[in-house]
Amino acid sequence: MQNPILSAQGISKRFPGVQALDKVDFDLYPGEVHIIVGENGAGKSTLSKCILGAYLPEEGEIYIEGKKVSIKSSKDALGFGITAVYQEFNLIPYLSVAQNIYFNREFMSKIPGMVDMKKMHEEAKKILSSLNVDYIDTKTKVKHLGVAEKQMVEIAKALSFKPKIIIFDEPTAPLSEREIEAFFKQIHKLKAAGIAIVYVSHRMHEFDQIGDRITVLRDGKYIGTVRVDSISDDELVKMMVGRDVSQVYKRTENEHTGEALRTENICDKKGKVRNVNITVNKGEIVGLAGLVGAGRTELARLIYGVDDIYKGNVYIKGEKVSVKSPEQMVKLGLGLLPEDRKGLGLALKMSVAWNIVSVSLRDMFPKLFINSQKISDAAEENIKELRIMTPSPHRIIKFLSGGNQQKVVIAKWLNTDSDILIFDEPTRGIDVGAKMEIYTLMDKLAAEGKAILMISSELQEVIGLSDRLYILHEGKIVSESKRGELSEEEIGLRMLTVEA
Amino acid sequence: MSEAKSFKEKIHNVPPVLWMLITCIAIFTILSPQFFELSNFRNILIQAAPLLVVSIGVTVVLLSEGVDLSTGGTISLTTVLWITFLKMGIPITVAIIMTLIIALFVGGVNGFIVAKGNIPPFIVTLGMASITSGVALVITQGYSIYFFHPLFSRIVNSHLLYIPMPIVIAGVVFLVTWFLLYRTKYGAQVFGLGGNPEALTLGGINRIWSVVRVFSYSGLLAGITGLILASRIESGNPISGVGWEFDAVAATLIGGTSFNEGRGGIGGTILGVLLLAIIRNALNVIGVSSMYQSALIGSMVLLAIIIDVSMKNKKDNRIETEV
Repeated sequence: MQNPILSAQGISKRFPGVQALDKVDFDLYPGEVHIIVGENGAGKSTLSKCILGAYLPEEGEIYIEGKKVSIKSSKDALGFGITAVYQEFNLIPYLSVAQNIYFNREFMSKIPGMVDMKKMHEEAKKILSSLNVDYIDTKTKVKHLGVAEKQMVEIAKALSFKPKIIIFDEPTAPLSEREIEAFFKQIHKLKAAGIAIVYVSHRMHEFDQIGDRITVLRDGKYIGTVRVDSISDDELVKMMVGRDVSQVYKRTENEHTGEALRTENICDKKGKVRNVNITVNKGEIVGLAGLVGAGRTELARLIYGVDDIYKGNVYIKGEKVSVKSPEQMVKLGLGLLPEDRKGLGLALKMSVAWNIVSVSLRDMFPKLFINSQKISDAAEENIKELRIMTPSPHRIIKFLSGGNQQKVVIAKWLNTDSDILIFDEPTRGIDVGAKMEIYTLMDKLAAEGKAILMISSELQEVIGLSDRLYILHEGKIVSESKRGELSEEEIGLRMLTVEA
Repeated sequence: MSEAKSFKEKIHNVPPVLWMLITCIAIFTILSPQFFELSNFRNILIQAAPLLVVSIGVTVVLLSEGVDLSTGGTISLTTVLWITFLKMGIPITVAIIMTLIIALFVGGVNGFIVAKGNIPPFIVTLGMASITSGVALVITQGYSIYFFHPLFSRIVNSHLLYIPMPIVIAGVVFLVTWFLLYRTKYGAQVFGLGGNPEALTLGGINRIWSVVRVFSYSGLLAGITGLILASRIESGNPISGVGWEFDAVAATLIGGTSFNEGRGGIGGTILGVLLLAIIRNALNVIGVSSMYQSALIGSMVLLAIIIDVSMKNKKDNRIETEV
């Protein structure tokens, strides 16, 4: 085997209050895709930033092609042939594609100070065609490109440095399925060209398709490095979280005491929900599976009073209600944790405490004035109870990880009298560890007698958590099953409504 | 994306300011036939030229996600300084250079405080406007100071290839700025500051000097405007620049440059300046009393900006729903 192009040994990095990296080893071979995984806060990004020169590790050595080096800045890193494609794109919206690729490294013309635009566009075109994306015009302003195209420009920019190592940080997060496929092709091409790739991600289902080796970090510690083809998903999760997968979907046995929510032949105006009958009992978690576009979110929105019901009835705790508005449904004890957490579930620029009390504020302070001490106290309690990782209740929520943001959304509803909760994709974009905590929470809520309706695209999760499972297909319920009645394959087939 | 743009799409892509220009010209022509005369348009262009110079500087600042409200103060100060230097017997070219260096420096100080102190540019430049007009008042003790030099009338009244000199000056400033913005790395930095400052740092650029350069340029152009103005009024006047900062920012915004992301450009600013100049001229031609003009122009500018912004929002929404 070849020698590693990069080898990091015993890397440690401390931040105030946290040991972000604790004697971590990492090596990388030319033409290899080496994945770094771990939960949020495991040290993935810190490690890649140490390689990039953004952080200087306190301990440990980095060797490039066998020579010991010290990388103090991104300039140093570039000098060693290391570059990165950032998660948040670092492109300038109103500059052209070519200007972005060669930003501050413009080709100069003979006239002093003037940029040689022609040469710049030519060179940019060469790089883009080497990536097979000639359709991106080098003169287009980046603002007018789609996300996937922007990423291609980022990759082109990285390649313009003629790097030996490229670091990708969660590159597929903003991309659609089809775009991801195209992106993987690019990765394979880069590999074939002998470029070594560091790939930071927590999307486990992608690893088979692109990765060669995986290094697992947990709480800043090095857990191990394994070959992708020699490890199962379950084993990998166990390495990441330090627990067995069988414990992931643990449910407490509890009584289902009476009906909480029932729909009777409800339909919407657009025909996305057609004659749906579902029941959710107190203390029960009911799953709602189906393909994207099957009408799951639409159904939730009908029940919650966001969209108008065209036909059919809704019963809350046995009583028929005419659904008018979310406000009315909240008063009746309903809560919705929306799919689009950032857009609909949270006020991103406000503090944790304010988000937690936002729904219950009116009950907490029926009179004119509010008491901010009382708000932080109430929030503090939730933060402890749900183990929300935030330095203080006053932290702006934007800066919390996805999992902690979701916990805040849950806390928000816990403070109200809601006893019927609709979770729409509760664990989307959250890492494994936080997912487990959300599952535990949902189980606890059910055990306390709350009724939970869960919409999820992750089959394992709906199967693992639901007491009962409905499958929607083109707006209709096509299957109802009890826990354990159907296998994953059968459920998958019914979602496509192929008779099994 | 379709290859051939439909007629409707083309119409949609015409900047709102052009529609407003056409509408205004049509309305004013109906109201007063004198308005639509070649000599009047020549007048409008001559009147618009100094405003264009200062507005181009302000546009560059807005593109970098800043704003410059100090230009009016700088204009007043440069008229006063230049005339004072001349009165002291300093040769006119030396006086011009000294005055422009001071204007450039004033802008640079703005930029330095904004970038180094991380203070919102509107408050920094507003403070600077107060300082510069204060200094101008102290120098002149509140009066206009007069001086005469043959160069004044050459700046205002002479021609180059049949083009009036103020228009030539504005044209040169436009071309130079165009090259700086679109053909040099410094121009790319302006769009970078406006669109994604983080990218500048990652590109190894010192952000502070970038900002200083941008504000200095605006100061310099305000200085040039001050020189044209002083030549026209043949005096140094400590309140001659009052209101210019508003006109410059308004012309820039009407011209389609936005406060964020570095959207826009100096081409639109020409149209914005023309619109302002036309409105002002037409009100004079029609015979609206100068007492009403200020309020009328203010309302029209606000209206123009509201139309522009709402049209843009609509467009953005359209694009988003298409995705």
